[in-house]
Order: sequence, then structure tokens, then C-alpha cells
Amino acid sequence: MADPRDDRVSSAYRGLPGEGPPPAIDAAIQAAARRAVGSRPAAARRFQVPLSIAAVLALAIAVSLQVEREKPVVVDGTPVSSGSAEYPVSQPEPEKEERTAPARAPVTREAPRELKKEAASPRAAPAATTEPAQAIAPSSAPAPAGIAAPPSAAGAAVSADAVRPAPQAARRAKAELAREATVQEKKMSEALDTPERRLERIADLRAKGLHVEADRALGEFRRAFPDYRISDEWLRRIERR
Amino acid sequence: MLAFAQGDAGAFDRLYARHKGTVFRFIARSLPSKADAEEIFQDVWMKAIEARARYEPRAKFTTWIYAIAHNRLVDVWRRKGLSLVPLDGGDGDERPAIDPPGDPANEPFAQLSNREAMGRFVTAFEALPPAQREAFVMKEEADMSVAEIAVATGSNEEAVKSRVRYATAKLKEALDG
Repeated sequence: MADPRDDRVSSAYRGLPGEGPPPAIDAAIQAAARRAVGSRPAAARRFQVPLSIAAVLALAIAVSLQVEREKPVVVDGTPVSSGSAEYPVSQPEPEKEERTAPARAPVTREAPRELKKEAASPRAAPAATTEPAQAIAPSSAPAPAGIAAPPSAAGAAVSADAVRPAPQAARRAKAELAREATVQEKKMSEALDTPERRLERIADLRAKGLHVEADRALGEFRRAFPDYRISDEWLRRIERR
Repeated sequence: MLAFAQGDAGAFDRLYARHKGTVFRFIARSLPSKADAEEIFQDVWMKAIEARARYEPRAKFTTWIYAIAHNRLVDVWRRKGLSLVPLDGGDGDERPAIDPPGDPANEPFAQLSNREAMGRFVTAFEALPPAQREAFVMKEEADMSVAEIAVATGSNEEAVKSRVRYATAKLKEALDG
């Protein structure tokens, strides 16, 4: 018997008084459904923290690499932006040509590209100075992107007296990147912070008598971890007495 | 339900409108107290709303919502040891026919020979054991197959088939007088 149904019985069942939920219950259920979709779905909430940590990490690494690549290099005591590598390279002053190799070595490590280019110039430092620099400098080092370098500058000839400062836009962009990196690193460290670590810092502030800072940190802690139950032991250490 | 889980409140409204009558009757005919039935009904839908993110379309929505209702009813049955359900408006008032089930062409009383037969039917229905009544109502109200009822109630198909068959036989006997 695949379908144990009887038409008369079914008809009789359908003859029973029809019923439905009261309108108040309808309204309550539908309102609950609207409230539920108004909030973020549970699945999204579950992945929110790991996703934001991953995003922050990726951003921080990218920004750090960018900042590292764009770091200004002190050549002959003058800050030169990476963009200047695309510009005509400044010629060393005669008295500076007497610089010794050890003095230049750190600069070489900081920015091998610039030194390599400098070594290639006819009036570059003596061979003893250039040799280690070339050894360190990767021959396939790519040219920097040149944040705001004008297109015509790339192919410009080396000028003897032109120490061109980095364009304003490039400086601003670098400053912006550095600021962004700081913010991202701060966010990342906050995201990876455990409640216990934060409580420890608050306790430190309190122990040092920095009550205003400790109160502020405690307020931030309560906002960040509203459902965290602070133990009595911690409370004794972090609350103002 | 998937659309609702994605944030479409209108999808829930449509789903609710389609199933509220049958689910309510299923619950109301499984419990003696209308107030209890209303409470359980609301609770079932609230659970469905909460569980929207975990809903997987492995079975029909009907099976899923009836499974929630079944679990809730089993809790009540266990707590109260219930088996009888008044269906004849025991408090004396004539309850309005809201959202009547089935085709209006199957006018219920027209197909019954008289009120007496209907009275016997109601008595027999109330006397059904909860498991038989539940399986029978799922079949009649939601038009669920034996397999779907088995999934919703966590039983095997043979047991469900047997419950429906026994319930149908008893109700038919009541109609025949």
C-alpha cells in the first residue's frame, strides 16, 4: 500500500473547522523575520573577524613593502626620493668624492638601485667604493614605479647640477602610505589582541598611576569585549581604588 | 527560505503565507489547548527564523518546518502526557473558518451524510494516538509523502505507513458508524 489514503476520510477531515493563527501572532512572526534580516546573517558574523584580520594583514604587508621600496635615501647628505632615480642623477661634489667605501656601504644596502646608477655615471665614486655596492646590488632590480614622475623625466639625460627634489605629490603619497601603514598595523595589533593582554596593559597603566589613560583603556576594553566577564582578580588590578 | 536567508524579508512573508494555515492546524490538532497551540506555533516559526542560516535545501521546506513542529510537539507531549485534542469547539463557541483547508468544492458537510457522522469522526480523531494523528495530519494538511513524514518525524517509512493506515482505518470506521 503505497499511499494509505481514503477519499471519504480525507473529505471528512477537510470538513473540520478551519483554523489559522491570530493576526497578532502573524504580525509578531513577520516582524521578527524583518528584524532578523535587518541584522547581519550569522554566517557573515562568524567570518567577520578572520576576514578582517586577513584583510588587515594583506594591506599591512602590501603597504610595508611599498613604503620600503619608496623609502627616501640619503645620498651625499641630501634626502632624495625614489622618484629621483628616474630623474637625472646628481653629480657628487668634488670633496665628497673622497668619501671612503665603509661610509657608503650602509647607503648601498639601503638603496642598491641608486648606487648602481651612480656607479654607472662617469663621475662616480672610486672603484673601491663601488665594488661592494655592485656586489650587493641585484642586477635585475626593477626600476621603481615612480609615483609622480613625469613621463619625460625617465629618459632625461644626466645633468651635472640638477638635484631635483621629489615632487610634492610623491611626498604626499608617501606620507599617506606611511600613515596608512601605521593605522593598519595598529588595527592589526588590536585585532590580534586578547582580552587578557589588554587587561594587563590597563593594569600596568594603573600601577604607574596613569589613571586617566587606564580609565580610557578600560572604557575601550568594555566596548571591544562587552560580554567578557572580568574576574575579581583582574578587577582589583584594573579598577581605580 | 534561501532567499530569506540571503536577506529577502519578502520571501519569508510569502513562505509564511503559504504554510501558516497548515502548520497551525497541524499543531492545534495535536494539542488540547488553543493557547498552547498558538505559543508552540509562534515558537516554531521563531526557530525557523533563527535557523535560516543553517537551512539546507536537502529536503522540502515543508518537511523542515514540520520537523521543527514535530520536535516541539514531542517536548510538550512528554511534558504533559497529552493524547486528546478537542476539535469540536469544546468551549461552546463556533470558531470562524479562517484559511479553510482544501478545495471549496469539497464542501465538508456536503460530503458527510449528517452531523452525526461528523461527530463520530471528530471523536475518533481525538482518540487517535498522537503519533498516528500526527502522521495522518501531515499527510492530509501538507500532502506530505510517507518518506517526507518519516524524515520530519525521525521515523522509518514502514512505521509511518502503518500509522497512517491505522489512523485512516479508524476514521473510516467512525464514518461508517
